[in-house]
Amino acid sequence: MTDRVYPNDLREFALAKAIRAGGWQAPVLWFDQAGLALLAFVLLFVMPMLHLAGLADMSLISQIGRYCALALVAIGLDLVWGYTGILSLCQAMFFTVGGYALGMFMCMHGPMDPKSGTIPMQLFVVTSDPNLVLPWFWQPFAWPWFAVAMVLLLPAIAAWLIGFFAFRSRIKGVYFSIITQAITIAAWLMFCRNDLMLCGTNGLSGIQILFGGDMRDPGMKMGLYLVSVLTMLGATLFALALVQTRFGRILVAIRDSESRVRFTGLSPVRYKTAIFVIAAILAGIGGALYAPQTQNINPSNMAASASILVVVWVAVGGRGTIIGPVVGTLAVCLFESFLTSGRTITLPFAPEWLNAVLKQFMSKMPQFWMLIIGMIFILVVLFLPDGLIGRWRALVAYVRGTSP
Amino acid sequence: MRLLLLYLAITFGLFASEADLLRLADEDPAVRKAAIETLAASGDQRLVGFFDEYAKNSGFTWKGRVVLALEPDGDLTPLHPLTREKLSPTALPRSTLSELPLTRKDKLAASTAVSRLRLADPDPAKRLTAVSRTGDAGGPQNRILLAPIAANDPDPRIRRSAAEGIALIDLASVDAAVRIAGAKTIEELASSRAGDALKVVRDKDADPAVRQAAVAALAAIDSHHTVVRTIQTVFSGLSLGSVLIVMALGLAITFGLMGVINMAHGEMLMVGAYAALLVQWFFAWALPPSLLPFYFPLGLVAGFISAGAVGWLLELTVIRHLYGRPLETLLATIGIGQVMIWSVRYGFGDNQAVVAPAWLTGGWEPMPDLVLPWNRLFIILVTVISVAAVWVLMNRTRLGLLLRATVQSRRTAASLGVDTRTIDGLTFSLGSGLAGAAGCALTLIGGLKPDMGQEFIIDSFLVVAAGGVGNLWGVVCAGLGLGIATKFLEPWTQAVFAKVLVLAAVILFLQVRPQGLFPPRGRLADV
Repeated sequence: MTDRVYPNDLREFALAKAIRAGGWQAPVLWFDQAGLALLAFVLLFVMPMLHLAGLADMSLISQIGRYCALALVAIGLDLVWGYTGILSLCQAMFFTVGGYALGMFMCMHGPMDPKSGTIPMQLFVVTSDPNLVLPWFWQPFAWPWFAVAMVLLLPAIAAWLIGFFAFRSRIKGVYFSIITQAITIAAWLMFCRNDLMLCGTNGLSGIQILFGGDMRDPGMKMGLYLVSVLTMLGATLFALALVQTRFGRILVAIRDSESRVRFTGLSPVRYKTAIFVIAAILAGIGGALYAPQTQNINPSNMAASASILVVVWVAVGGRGTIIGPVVGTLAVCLFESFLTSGRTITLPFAPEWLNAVLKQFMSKMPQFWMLIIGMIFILVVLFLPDGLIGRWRALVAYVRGTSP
Repeated sequence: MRLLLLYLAITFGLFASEADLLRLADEDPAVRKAAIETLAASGDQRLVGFFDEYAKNSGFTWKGRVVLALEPDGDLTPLHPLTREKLSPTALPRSTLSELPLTRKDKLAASTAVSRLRLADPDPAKRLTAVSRTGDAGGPQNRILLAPIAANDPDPRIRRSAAEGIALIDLASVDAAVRIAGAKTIEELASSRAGDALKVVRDKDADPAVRQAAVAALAAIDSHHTVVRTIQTVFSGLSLGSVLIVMALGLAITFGLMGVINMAHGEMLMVGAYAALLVQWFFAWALPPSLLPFYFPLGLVAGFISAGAVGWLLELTVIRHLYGRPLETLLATIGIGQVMIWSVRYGFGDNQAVVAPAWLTGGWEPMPDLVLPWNRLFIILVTVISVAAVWVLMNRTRLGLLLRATVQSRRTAASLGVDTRTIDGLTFSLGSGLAGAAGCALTLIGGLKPDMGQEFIIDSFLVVAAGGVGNLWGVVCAGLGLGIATKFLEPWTQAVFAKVLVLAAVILFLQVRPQGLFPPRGRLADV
């Protein structure tokens, strides 16, 4: 393609200008690193210690493990949206596909139907067909290496197809967001159908056996928690390193001015497709870690609102920061879990009526918390465009007397 | 009023006379038979009930007149044979009434009389049912009953049904020539009712000529069905497409002209629908019931105005601050959409339904077996009017001129004294109002859900993307194309796969023509 037209040094020069034009700044600041180290310390050391001391029960540990899996999806979206400027609304689809890939593996080793003993209970119950033969695409998922490969490959292939065709015809900006949302909705509708032999709206529920261990076992739970935390931290470090390479800098240049990058002789299609695929793989891994921890993965994990939630996590944390999405995911998810737990809060010095209103409001929250999510969305977009991390950086800069 | 009806009924002989009834008590069977025939010829529908009871031995004579008494045993209360008023305040001993003579022949005559009376029902709908039942029942005596109806009935549908019935009866005849004639008639009428009977004839009939005629008739029915199905598919595609068009018109204005992406546009549809619901509730609460069917035009206006007002408010509070930042606008409006959905769910709960006005129930039947529902025709009409109104507004009014000027070059327009801020607000509320009108029209064909807009938002964006940004005709063509394509794909894939296929088609189409059907030219092309 046009890549070869320009001499290399000239292209580097033009590229450097393109990158500089976009107000580039070093993504990792010392307090980010300190924050990350603190987070790693808390998640890897403090939480297990609290559990051993009996202060944090297994359900809380497992909950945080799930949120770490979700943070992987958010990191992927941050690479695509925060760094490359492509707002993708199909991260939840890649997440769910990854979850299904591992979920099917677990199904194949879980309880089978009583009659032939070859069909996983989850599939047998949904189809309720006594003469059912195991569909051909289920069989290879019994092999662990195949399932693990599919966790990575299925989202990657899907993302490559979507990305290549969309970016090639220069579908960008809001068009791309809408197309990806349409694709997610279409996939959701497909997964909901029983005749796709993926268990319909029930999804894969009650999946228990993972590599010979039972997911109801506290040891397995703790193990998977640690794996999730480590994977999440690894992905954070990987993403932080990635955005500092030449590849990462070109992504930022594409975000700031795609046509300028094209004029320097680079093909943005390749870079955009590549980062889109990387994000999809991260989401797939997230899904594969999430499914065994909830022992459940179903089509509602990729409903339209699920993709929107991922955007909320990234926006709240602060996009283009890598650390931000992790913080955002943990914060929003913990907030959600608090709101929907049915607990009430009483303000100590507030008048009686205010507490009564608050109690009424909190009692409705288990059903109506999407209302809060919507409000967070509007407020963050209007008043907090650089998210929590952005505010934190501004505060640090203010204290130090420098400009951020 | 009642007296007038009575007078009319007597003049046209719609009333059974007491004298004829009394002849049922005659000893001579021939007199009784003649009496039943006279009664059947009178066409008085109240006789249907009488004959039913008469055939169950419930007819008596009492004080020189015929009465009914329905008690199976014990004392009897004489009732008026036609109106069933009580003629005696108390029950009387059985011996005071004498039973009407009733033989098997009388019962047969009474049941024939009931069929004849039903066939003479003044209500065309009931008459149609009776005619089609008589045809299905078969038998030579029914053929005799149907023949005058096939020739003389004022309603063409009833004439057709009677002719079908006669042909069906002919098909069962012993005479091969008559059977062939029956099959020929069915072939001409393309009567789908006769399908099963024809198949039996095709497979079992002894005479090869008759079998051949049946095959020909079946082919005629099949081709008629294909025509009907095609028209129906195109029609449902049109009605789906027209909802999409009104939605997408609003989007084409806000997104195409202003470059503002409004993911809460679907919720404007929802606002319009709930406005229609509120108008209906108001009518039911404050006004006499006779006015209730006329709520709809007012609901349409209310839908337009309320959605427009919400849109105006939205522009003023949120969207104005986000101009030139499309992704942020997208996010903020997604948030707004969620807040609106969940607030309405909080306030109204799920699944309300608007009762469609009576004048929109039923449908237009331009040919046999093809019914086009009035409500869907009405939605198409609303769409045509909306498109025309938007075109006139854009191209023939001062507001449209200012609007286009602002879109083409904001600075130039402002320097020439156009208040671009106000124009922005007006444009946005116009686009939202159109979605509100679409929502109101949608209440005619479905229930109300707080998230009803979500179903349409993606499709409408696809319409705008495929039609080309900011082009009215592009939107109309793409909307109709998408609607009809979806409905054509649905039968031989499933609804879900049709959606997937249409989506894939749009993406492939955008590979060929990234700017849509009618790409903008010149300076606008950069937007």
